[in-house]
Amino acid sequence: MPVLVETDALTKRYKNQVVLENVSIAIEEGSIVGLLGPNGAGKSTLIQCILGLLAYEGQCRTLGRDPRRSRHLLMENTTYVPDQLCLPLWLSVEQLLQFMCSIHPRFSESEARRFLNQTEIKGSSKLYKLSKGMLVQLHLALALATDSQLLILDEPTLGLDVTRRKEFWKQIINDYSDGKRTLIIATHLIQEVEHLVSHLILINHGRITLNQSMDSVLEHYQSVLAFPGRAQDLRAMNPVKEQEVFGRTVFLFEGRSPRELAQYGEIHQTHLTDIFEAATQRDPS
Amino acid sequence: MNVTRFAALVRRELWERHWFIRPWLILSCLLVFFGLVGLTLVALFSTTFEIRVQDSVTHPSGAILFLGLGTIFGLILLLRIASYFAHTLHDERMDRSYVFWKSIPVSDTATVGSKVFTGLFVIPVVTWVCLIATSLILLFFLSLATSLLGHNFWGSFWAPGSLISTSLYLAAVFLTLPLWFFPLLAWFLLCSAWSSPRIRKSPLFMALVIPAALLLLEPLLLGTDLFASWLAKLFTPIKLILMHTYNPPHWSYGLTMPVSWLDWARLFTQPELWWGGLIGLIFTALAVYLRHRTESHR
Repeated sequence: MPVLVETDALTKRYKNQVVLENVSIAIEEGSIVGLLGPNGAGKSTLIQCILGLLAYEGQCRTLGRDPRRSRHLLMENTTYVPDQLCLPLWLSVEQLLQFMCSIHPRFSESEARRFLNQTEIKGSSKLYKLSKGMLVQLHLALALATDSQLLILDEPTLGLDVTRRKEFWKQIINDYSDGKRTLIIATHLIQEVEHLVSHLILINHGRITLNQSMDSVLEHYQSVLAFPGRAQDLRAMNPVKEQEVFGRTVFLFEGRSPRELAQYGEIHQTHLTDIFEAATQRDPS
Repeated sequence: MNVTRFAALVRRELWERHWFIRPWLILSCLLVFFGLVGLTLVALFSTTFEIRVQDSVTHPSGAILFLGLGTIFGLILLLRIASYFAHTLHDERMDRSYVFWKSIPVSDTATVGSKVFTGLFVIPVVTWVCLIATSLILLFFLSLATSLLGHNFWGSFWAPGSLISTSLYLAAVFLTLPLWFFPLLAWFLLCSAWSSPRIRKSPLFMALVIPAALLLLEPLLLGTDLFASWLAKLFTPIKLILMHTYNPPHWSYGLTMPVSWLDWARLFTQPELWWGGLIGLIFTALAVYLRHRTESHR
């Protein structure tokens, strides 16, 4: 598969503070990437570097281009929904659709209207009169109506209620993910993307702590519910995480075979949240 | 950059600033209102109502009204363009909408270019349309009022040749004036791109303080007044506008141009205009560079 986004030793500093350090990743075409990390980990900064919105040190190629030099050309094939509301509030919804239609060669007005018809947003409304949730819905409608090769969503469902969130992810799965388009979803709401992503990148304190396909992540990490009296044996095997559940101990192991672990406990499905917690607790140095 | 996209960017500027029409509408309404109040008061309280009208051939009154209002609109136009240039790149950072504008396939050059085009050409045209509409409305009420009072000045007020040539003259003034002031306006644009929203420095403040400091420091430190002389030369057209308002040139009926057209056309032969244009382009290029470097602050 061709690589759409590639960074090599990408570093971002704000004065003396290092926000991203030696980030090297490669994102293949057609993959759905979960870029996960706690608040302030550097997810949004990495995305903005990839899009050429921030200057950086090191190398970065997005869709084969230098994003800092060719941001506007890159955006012909890339859609970005940032984590903070940034739509120009003085526009009306109608004006925004007209503007996008004239500016973006891959924007479909009819598709955007189709998405908006499922909401309570009216075309004549000025954006400053819309609620935060409606603004998020509007921005997502614009994103989904743009036929881009690369869609980057930064905390896309913040501000949406549970029903809207479910609908949004359903639309992403049904309408957008066709195996050719590439998605990067940055979020700290891991449960939402757990069943969606094909590749996982964990970031903490500006460093990549995990960068693997979902399949290999699930092979690599094993969750074991210890048999009564065997918790001590499992503890001796250096688990990456341990927690008490209803009086029994659940361990998370990295790089151990399930057969080896099955002697001491019951193998359970590993959840991304557990891996996330283990990875974020790990010392990044 | 294709024409459709550029037009969309200009239209966006018009939407953001409500077509730049609101202040003109307010000004026009005030002028019409006070004009009507004045006429009513004169009609009510003056027993020997008399209106002196200029000789209708050499100084048609309608054209003089156009010029008078043109002076007011022209001076405000300059302030409005300066204010637009000083705020346009600053505002998009203040409301964070620049992240959205940068996430669409439009280069910084095209964005800044559309703003410069809007300031230099679109705002003057909109202003001119508002000026002509206001002048015609005022002239209509003035003619109606004088008719009701038994005077007939329709010929002097509505001499078509003078009205058309004055309107075209004002169009030329409105389009030339921003070009002449381009170096100063582009400086305002540069300050707009430069001022940081984080420390909330007003771009207009920066745009004025730095030249003021230069005006004070140059004679003190270097013993020269090159900057002051350049500014004095830059503001010459303002004198020209005021002079033509109070000492209007002789008008000829028909579509022949008033003499003052030539004065404005002469601006294009002035090397200052072209040097100023070059300085304006350099400031604009720097504004593009700064917009390119703009980052979201953490």
